[in-house]
Amino acid sequence: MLNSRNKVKAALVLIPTVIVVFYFIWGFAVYTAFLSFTKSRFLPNHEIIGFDNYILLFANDRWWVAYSNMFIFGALYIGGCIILGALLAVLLDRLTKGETLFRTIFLYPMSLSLVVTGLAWQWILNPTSGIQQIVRTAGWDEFNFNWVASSDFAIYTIVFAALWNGTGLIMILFLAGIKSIDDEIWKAARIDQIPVWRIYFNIILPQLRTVLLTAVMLLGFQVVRSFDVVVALTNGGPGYASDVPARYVFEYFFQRSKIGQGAAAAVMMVMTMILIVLPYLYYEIRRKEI
Amino acid sequence: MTLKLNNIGKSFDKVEVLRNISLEVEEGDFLVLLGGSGCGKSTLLNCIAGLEEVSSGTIEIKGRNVTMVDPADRNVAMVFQSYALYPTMSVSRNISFGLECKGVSKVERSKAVNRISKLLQIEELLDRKPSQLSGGQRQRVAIGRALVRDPDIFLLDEPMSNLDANLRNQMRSELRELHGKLNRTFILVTHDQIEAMSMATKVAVLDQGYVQQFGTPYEIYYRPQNKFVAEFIGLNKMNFLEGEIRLTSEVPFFCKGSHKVPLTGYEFTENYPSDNRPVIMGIRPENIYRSKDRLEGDVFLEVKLPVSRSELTGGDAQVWFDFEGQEIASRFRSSRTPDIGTLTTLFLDVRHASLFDAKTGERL
Amino acid sequence: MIRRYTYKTALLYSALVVSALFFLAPIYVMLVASFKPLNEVRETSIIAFPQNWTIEPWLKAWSSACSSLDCMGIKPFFLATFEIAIPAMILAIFIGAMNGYVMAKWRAKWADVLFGLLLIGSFVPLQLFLIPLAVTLRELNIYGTTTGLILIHTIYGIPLTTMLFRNFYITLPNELVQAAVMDGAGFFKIFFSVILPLSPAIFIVAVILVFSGIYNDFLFALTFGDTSKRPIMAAVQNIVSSSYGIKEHNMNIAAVVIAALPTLLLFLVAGKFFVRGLMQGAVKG
Repeated sequence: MLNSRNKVKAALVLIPTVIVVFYFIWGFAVYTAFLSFTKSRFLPNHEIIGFDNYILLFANDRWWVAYSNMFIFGALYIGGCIILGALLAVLLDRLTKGETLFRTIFLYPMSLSLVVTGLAWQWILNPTSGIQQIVRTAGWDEFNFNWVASSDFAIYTIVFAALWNGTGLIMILFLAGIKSIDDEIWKAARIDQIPVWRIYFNIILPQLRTVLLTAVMLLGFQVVRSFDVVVALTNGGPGYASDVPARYVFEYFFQRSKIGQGAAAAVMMVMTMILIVLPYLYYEIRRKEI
Repeated sequence: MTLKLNNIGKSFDKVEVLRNISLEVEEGDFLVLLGGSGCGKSTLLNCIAGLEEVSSGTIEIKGRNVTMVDPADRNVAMVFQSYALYPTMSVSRNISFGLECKGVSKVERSKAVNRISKLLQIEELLDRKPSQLSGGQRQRVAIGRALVRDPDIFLLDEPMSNLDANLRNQMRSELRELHGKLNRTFILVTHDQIEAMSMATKVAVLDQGYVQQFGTPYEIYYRPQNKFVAEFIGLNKMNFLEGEIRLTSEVPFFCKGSHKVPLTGYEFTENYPSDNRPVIMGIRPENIYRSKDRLEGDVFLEVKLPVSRSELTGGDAQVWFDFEGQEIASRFRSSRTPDIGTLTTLFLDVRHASLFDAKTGERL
Repeated sequence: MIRRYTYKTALLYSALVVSALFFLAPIYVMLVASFKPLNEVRETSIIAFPQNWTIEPWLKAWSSACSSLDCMGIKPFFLATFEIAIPAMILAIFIGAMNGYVMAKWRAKWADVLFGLLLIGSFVPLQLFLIPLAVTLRELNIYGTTTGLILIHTIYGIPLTTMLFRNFYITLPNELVQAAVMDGAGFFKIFFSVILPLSPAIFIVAVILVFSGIYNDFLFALTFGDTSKRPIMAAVQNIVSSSYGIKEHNMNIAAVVIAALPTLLLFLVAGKFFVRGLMQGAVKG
């Protein structure tokens, strides 16, 4: 069927995508990686300076704050989304009525951009008028919840906002997985008098390993790319206490005009993503061998 | 000659699916490509249709070399196993879509649709969508879609595998009737030998990419070319007896252990066996009798064998006997089935037997 | 027996309600703030209901809110975003649909390789594209223009749409295309007459995902948006964070809500398609 006439037409159709893939995606990625080894500052400069940018990067305390923030945020965000998402999925699965309503409530934040999410939570966590104020006026004068302004805790505020936004998707993934499990397993478990929560914990959830892994991987990628929510909520502040690599790259590209260093940071982002994928690949390969 | 296949070979990557297929089909023939799963029959059909390109060999339709020609220009039409009706189009558009692609005018198209729908009795269904039709109705629409193009060859890919048994019977006779009415060449793929034997004028038995035998249903049944065909064809499987050929006397003898029978009247092919050649005699259960009167000639083998097992299937029973370590089967009336172990006299009608070389399986 | 069930169901519902409160709180708080006059916003708690309802914050947000340049409200940015999102979405979906058709129904090894590269490439962080994109757009003279952003969003929307349509078209039986080939339909006729009519569901999913992706984008908006016409997420962030004198929280919040409305409404109206699409896709993994 793929005769010469159709081959030409197929190729023609795919030409834009070929350009996208080879120039706009892979070409650009390689170029930026190349720039990380150059002397680029305000404009790209093709003079190679070896690993200097990386040395500067690793010597920069700011970078390490941002990089470690990514892991702190990542662990809490991924863990939180998974646990909360799984819990909500289980709760929803038990419902006989009102599933659509609750599902909509848990899902709608996903439709909002992370900028809106960040700005909304910035409002809630505002020390002078937000949660801190509410609790104080309710009586607890000493209550402190000014995490947004705190160097130590600012990064955790980002976790709240991101959780609020991302849990819905994970919940849906789990819910789909739960619902796809054979009814017969349920019947068998019930006949064996196994309590409901145990069915979920020991029987159902283990079967959702693939869903779990996919979720973790997707969330991991989101974490590495988090830019919007950080800028909107804290803009990396106070100072650079809640900075993240994605924002760091942007700042070095466009505000500090140090493209080479920004590129090095960007390459580190990709390296981290590859590190995330490796266990997943390993798991997949082992599964196929078995 | 409507269709001529010359040495067709087809491979997917390194896997050879069709080997050396050569067939000739006349106008008005009903050819059935028969075989088990994976034998290559559907691939062969797709090659004839032009949906797959052959790796070697040529295809000629009505004298024209169509090996490199697009399916639409070969003047063939196909009925798919799943019918493949266009789900979003009405029945009438489904049927006329091919004409639409050719640029036929609306007036002509509706004339054609009317003609075909009358022929297949699907006039009331013209405005419906495929999802609103039953299995049998869908099949008729699929046939109509093929008919309307007035092709030289109709290709049908296991058209009845999606129907239940009753519908299948009905469809079989309808297809036969259609074939008679149109007098065009039909090529049908199936794994069901009943379909093959009841509808075909010519059968090509396929296995592992080769044509094992090409002939009329009668030839396939009574003169199978090799052990595979002999085993494959026949509702009750043919029995195979291992033995040897002795050429010591004027007439060759088939010898099994202490038994021997002359092979007078057996029509040998050009593979005449040598002396002491190990052979396999194939004899169908219906050619094993309990009384001499049933025999059609005087060439027979008389044995006394114990019953090894039996299986009742309604009015008849299949009874197995132990013949020097091998089992052979025969069919009796259920009411007259002997018990296990009983020594029974059997008459094997050698006239209708087939001889095969024990090593190659080829007919002797 | 009945008591036990009621106890358990009560627990179930209360857990759900508490969670629901967590998820609803931000939007409630924002809506409430957006309808309060400024003094009330500053003096009452964020969860207090408005006492003097007013829509003035909304009006101000729309037409006179101040960004770092001037005080035109959010309206020009809102419109500019649609000017960018709609064409880009249409282009990306159209190209993706044709790609999906070719990759799913006309298998060719190199097309599969291309798809693989596309798939992996879709995980590359956008930060890696910023500098080369800037260079390319400058060369083409469209840096900072609407056209530039349309181009960007089309290009980076193609991986998503291609994946959606390819995975969907693979589920359509190949025999359909074969029948059309036998009928003499050409390459494009098959696409328009047979395949496309079967695609409404996936189109809806694609529209929701692609539009939301473009509308909600921040990084490209920030980097490549012209300050007077930048897409809305960059604009609203700018409006909220520019502090000239007294911060009018109620107006800022109203601006945020306005920015949130289109995708929220899209979700509420057509969300079930999206969810269905996700559930199907998720189970396949």
